[in-house]
Amino acid sequence: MKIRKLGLMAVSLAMLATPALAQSVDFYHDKGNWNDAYKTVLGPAKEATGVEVTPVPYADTSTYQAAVRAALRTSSAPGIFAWWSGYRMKDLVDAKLVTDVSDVWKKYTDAGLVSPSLASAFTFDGKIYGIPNLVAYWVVLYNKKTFAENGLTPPTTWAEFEKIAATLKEKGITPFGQTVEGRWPSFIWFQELLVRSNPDFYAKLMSGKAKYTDPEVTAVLKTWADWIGKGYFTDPSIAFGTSGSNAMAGQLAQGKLGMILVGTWYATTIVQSGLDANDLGAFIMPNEKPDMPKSVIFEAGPLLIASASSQKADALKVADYWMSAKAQQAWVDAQDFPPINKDVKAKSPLIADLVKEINDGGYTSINRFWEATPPEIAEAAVDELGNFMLHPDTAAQVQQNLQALADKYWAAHPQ
Amino acid sequence: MTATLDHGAAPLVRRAASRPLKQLVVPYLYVLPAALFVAAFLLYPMVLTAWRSLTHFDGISDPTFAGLDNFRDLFADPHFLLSLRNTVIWTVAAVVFPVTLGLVFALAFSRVRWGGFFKTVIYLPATISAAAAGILFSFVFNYDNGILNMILRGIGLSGLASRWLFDVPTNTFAMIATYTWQQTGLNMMLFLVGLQGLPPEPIEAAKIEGCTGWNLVRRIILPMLMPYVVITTLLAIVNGFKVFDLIWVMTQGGPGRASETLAVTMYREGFILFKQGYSAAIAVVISIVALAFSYFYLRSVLEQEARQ
Repeated sequence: MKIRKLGLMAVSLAMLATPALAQSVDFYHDKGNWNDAYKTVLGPAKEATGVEVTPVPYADTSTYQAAVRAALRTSSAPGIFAWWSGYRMKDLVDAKLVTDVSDVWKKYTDAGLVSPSLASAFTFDGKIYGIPNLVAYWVVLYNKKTFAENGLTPPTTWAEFEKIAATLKEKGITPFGQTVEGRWPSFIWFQELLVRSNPDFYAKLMSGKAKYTDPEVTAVLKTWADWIGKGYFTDPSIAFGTSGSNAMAGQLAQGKLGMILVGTWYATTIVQSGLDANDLGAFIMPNEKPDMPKSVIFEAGPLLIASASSQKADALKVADYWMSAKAQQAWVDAQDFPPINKDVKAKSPLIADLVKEINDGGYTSINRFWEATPPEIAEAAVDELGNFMLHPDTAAQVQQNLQALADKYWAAHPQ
Repeated sequence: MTATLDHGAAPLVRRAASRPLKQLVVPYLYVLPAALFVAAFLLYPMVLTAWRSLTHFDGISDPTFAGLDNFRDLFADPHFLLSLRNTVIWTVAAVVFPVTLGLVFALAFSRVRWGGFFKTVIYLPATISAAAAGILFSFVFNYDNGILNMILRGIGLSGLASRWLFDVPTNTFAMIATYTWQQTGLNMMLFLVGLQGLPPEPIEAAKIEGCTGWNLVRRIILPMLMPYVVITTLLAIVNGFKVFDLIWVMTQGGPGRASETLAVTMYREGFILFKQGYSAAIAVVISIVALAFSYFYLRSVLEQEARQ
C-alpha cells in the first residue's frame, strides 16, 4: 500500500514537472565569446515569455555543425540554433529540418519595425526560415589618426581610393590588410573587387550563370595582383584572429596599417587591440565607375528553429522575443551590431553613421560570397584564392580550377 | 591404459555436466561489460564506417547506396593523391626522426652524469597535447613576429626568414619538426625502459673482449633492444599515418589543401563539406593501409628473428 502511494506521488510529481520542463529551450551556437551577451539578452526572456533559454556554446565550428546536423532529425534537436544564411542553410530547408518563421517576421514587418529586405538571405520559395542573429556590413575600417596625419579623407571615388593607397605606401604604411589565415578570409577582397566592378556579374557568378574564367574575373584578379605587386597589402600570412592572435588589428591600431576590409564585427577587435574607438572610422568602398548603383556587401547570420525539436513551440515564442525592441536593444548594446529593429539605437557612432548612410543613400545590400554561393564551391574557392594571394602569378590556373569546381557543382545541381 | 583414461574421463564429463549453471555463466558475465564496450565503441563504428563508405550521405538525408563510387572518386581526386603523398612523407618522417632521435638520446643519456636532467627536458614536450604543441609552434613560426624569423633577422640572415607555415613544402617540414620535438621524448622513454631491462652479462663480456663505443651499440645493444625498436617503429608508423591535430591547428591542411594528410582530408570531407560517405571511404583506406603496413612490417621482423 505504501509503495502504491509512493508511486502515485511520483507520477503526480512527474506530471507537475512536465510543463516546467517544456518551458525550457536549448540554444546551440558556436560563438563562444558571445555566450555572455546571449545570456544577457535571453535572460529576461523567461519573464517575457515564460520560457527559459539555455545557451549551449561550442568551441569549434565544424564540431558544432556536425553535432547540430546529427541532432536535427531527432526530437532532441535544439529548439534554437545559430547557423549561416543563403546556400549554407538551403540543404536544411530542402530536408524540411527547420521551421517556417514567416509569421514571426510578419508581426514586425507589418508594424514597420523591421525591413522585409533583411529576410532575403533566409527566404526560400517565399517562406522565411530564420530570424537575424548577426547582421554586419562589409566595409573598410581605417585609423582616423593615420589618415589625418597623412592628409587623407575617406574616398568617394575609385581614383581617390587608389590615391590613398599610393600615398600610404609612399609614407611607409601598408595600405590594406589581407590574409589567408583561417582559409575563409581569402574571399574578402575577391568579392569586394567583383562587386565594385560589376555587381550584376557577381550575382550571376554566385548562382552559376557566369564563369570564373570570364574576363570580369580576369580583370579583378589583375587589379588585385597589381596591388599585391605594388606592396599595397600585408603579407598574407598575417594573423587575423582565427588562431587567437590579432596582428592585423594590432598593426592598424599602431598606425602601421592603413585600412582593413572586413565585416563591421571586427571593429570591436580593433578597439580591443588598442585603438581608441573614436579613432576608428569606416567607409564603403567606392565603385570603380561613378554611375554604378550604390551597394554594400552584408552578412546575415540566422537563428533557426529545428522542426523536429520537442521545444519547437517554445522556441517560436523566444524567436518573437528576440525580434522585439527590448531584446534587440540589449543585443546591439552588447555587440555593437547594426540594429535591425527601427526602435533600436546603434551603440557606437561608427555603426550609427554607417546605418544612416546605407539607409539614406539608397544602397543595395548584396549577400557575401560565403553564403551567396554553394558551400561546395565556396570552401574550395577560398583555397584557390588563398593560393592566388600567396602566388599572384597563378591567376590563370586559379580561374580554371575555380571554374572546374563550379562546373562540377552546377552539373550535379542544375537550376 | 585406454580403459584407465576412459575411466578417468567419465567423472570429468559428469562433473562438468553437473556443474551449476551459475558457475558456467558467471565467467562470461565478467567478460560481458568489456565485450559490450568493444562491440559498441569499436566493432559497431568500424562496421558502420565500412557501410557508409559504400553510400552517399550528407549527414541529414537518408544515405543512398553508391557501391564503390566513393573509392573510384577517391583515386581520381588530385587532393586525395596529394594527401596520400603527404601521409607517406609524414609516416617516413615520423619513423626516421622521433624514433632515431629517441634511440640516440636514450643511449646517450642512460649512463651519464646529469642524464636525469636531460631525459626530463626531452620528455617534457610529450606531456602536452599535440594541439598545444601546434599552437606553441605556430607562434614560433609566425612570419612577422615569430621567434625563428626574429632570430634569423637578428643575426643578419633575413634572407632565410620565411613563411614557414604558408610555403609548400616548407610547412610540412616545419610541422614534422614540431612533431619530432613532441614525440622524441616518448620514444626515448620506451628505449630507456628497454635498456634498463637488458641483461648486463653480455655487455660486460663484450667490454672485456674490447668491444666498446659504436661497435658495442651496433653488435650487442641494438640486437638485444630489437623488440623495443620494433614496437616503437610500429607505433610511429601508425601515429604518422593518423596524424591530424597538429596539422589542423598549424595549417588546417593549407595553404589550399597542400599540407593535408589522409586524416585531415577525411575530416574536411566529412565535417566541413559533409560528404560523409566519401569521408568514410578515406577512413577505410587509412585503416587498410595502416593494417597492411603493420602486418608486413611485423612479418618481416619476425621472419628475420626466426632466421637468427
